[in-house]
Amino acid sequence: MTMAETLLPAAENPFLDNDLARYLPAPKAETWRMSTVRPLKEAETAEIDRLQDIDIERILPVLQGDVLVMAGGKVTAGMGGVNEGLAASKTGGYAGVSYGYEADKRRRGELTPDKGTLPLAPLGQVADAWRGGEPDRVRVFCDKKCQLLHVVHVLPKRGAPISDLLDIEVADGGELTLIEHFVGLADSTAWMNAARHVRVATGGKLTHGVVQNLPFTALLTLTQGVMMADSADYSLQIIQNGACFARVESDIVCGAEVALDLQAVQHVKTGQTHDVTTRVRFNGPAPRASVTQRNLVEGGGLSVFQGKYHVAQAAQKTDAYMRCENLLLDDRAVVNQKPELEIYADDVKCSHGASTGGLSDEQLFYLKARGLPEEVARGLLVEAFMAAGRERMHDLMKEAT
Amino acid sequence: MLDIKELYAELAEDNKAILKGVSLAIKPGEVHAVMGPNGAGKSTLGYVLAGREDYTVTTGNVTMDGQDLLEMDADARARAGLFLAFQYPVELPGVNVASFLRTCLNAKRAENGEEPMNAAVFLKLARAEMATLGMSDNFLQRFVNVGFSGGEKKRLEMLQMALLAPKYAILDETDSGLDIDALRIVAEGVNRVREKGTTGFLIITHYQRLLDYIKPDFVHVFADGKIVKSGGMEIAEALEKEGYSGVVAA
Repeated sequence: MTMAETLLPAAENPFLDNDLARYLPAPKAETWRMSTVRPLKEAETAEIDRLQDIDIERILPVLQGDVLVMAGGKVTAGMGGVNEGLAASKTGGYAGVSYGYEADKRRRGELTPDKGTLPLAPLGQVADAWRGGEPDRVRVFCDKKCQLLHVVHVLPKRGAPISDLLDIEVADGGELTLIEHFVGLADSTAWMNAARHVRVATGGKLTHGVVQNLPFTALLTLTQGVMMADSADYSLQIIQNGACFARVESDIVCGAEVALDLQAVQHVKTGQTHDVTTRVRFNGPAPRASVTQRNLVEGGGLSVFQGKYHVAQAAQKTDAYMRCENLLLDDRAVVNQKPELEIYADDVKCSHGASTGGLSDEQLFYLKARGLPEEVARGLLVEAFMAAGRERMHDLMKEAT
Repeated sequence: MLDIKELYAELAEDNKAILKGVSLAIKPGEVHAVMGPNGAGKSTLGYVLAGREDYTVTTGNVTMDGQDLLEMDADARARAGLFLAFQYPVELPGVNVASFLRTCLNAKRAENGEEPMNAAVFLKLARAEMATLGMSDNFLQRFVNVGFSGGEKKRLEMLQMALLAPKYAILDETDSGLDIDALRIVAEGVNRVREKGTTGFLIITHYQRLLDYIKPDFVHVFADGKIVKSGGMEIAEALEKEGYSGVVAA
């Protein structure tokens, strides 16, 4: 009898029929959304590859700072030397930050699959249990000003859904820059179903980056719950380039006097859907809050900006805005945007705005009048549109090292 | 020579005629000033020569050192040696000045069969030119024209002109939005290029004050889409005293 059969008899294996659709959120539960989970239904539920056998260095980005690698949702040793110490002791860290992990051993009986929302963390865990290995739940804890930590998530060739669990806690006095990188093996058709629990305590500061460079055939759902205590400082910078379907969804609950800054940059090409959905609940005054997004869309790509501010009655004097800028390079590019404000306080300043257009004729002519051929001028303007977001990520890494 | 002959042009959008028979010949080293009231078509002349697609040339021809300018795209005209200093320089968020200037310079070098200029050589050259224009080094890291004052924008135009060393430069109301000091610095920048004697200038302006610093060889009065009077500095002085209506009627 194999390990997998021990954990979950074949008759009870929810993925035996390869029918993920039964477990995904029902269309009715998703009507408010601007992207559809249809691509997830078509994801293959094949067995996860053995990533230990792969030369991981070939696909890891070149990074400065401490690096933690999770491959297929597990902290894996033996990949070019990364994680060696951590895998052996299950703890690691450096001045001001510590991290550790343990297998999430909850069994099917303890899980209540939630068909209404993503992430399908319980569902993913059932799948992983069936495959004979639990996902690792990595916990990062920071209580001092500390250096940059990279967490690299590697997607195998196949497998769906693959759990990827990370808890981040920044305590009072802690200051952490944590950048997550999503990469995958070439032509991966896997679906990473990632869940994050983020807590930033009073006086804590977390700068959180998400860099998604998955293969164009891969899928990602990254869903995170963020709790910000009074006076907490949280900034989230998202850059999405790859994956045929990628949805990054954040539920953020804010105490009083928080500083919140979310910026997303998406480059969406033919056949891709990128979705950043953010809901923020202000439970106390939040004088500095912003959600901004830039979408560069071409071909039949679909980019989604969906943001909601819920301002409770106690959150007087909140000053928060949402802005989305879209550059559509051709007639087939699509942007869906839905900003929402739900305000129960009567002395707040909340706004949202969006701009959508093609490349500016004025700018193109200016560049051509300096001798740049049309295609070079267009390339420069496209690159410039994306540069602001990318430069911020570059600055984050520079400042933190 | 930049040779404009009986040039007629209209707005592509509504076929409204703007240029109605402009003829002008500019030799390398010469400075021609074109003055005229608002709406006369002066800026349109600059745009049409630079190849802006909003305008359609209906008749006439323009050659630049024997090349048919009107057959060339805007970028090819620029690489061939034509430069337009914009009245309202365009902001390019995300494009920093250093990479913009170097890309432009290398596009021109490629046209001439020269190797791209490396960063170190470029920076040395750019910094030397910037010093003469009273620009600090941090300009190089800023996004092109974003958050620039009117004077800073015009200085950047002059910096581009100095680096690109055009055969013919059209300055479209470069004096607008400049205070006295900035006007002097910009004019000195033009004069430094002029001293080399290889660039012909077409300076479009409303006012004589720029011409106090850049002494033109010829002054032309532009009205209703064409040049109606030509002469020397005495015309600019007469315009200052009598206004356009007086000079045009005389």
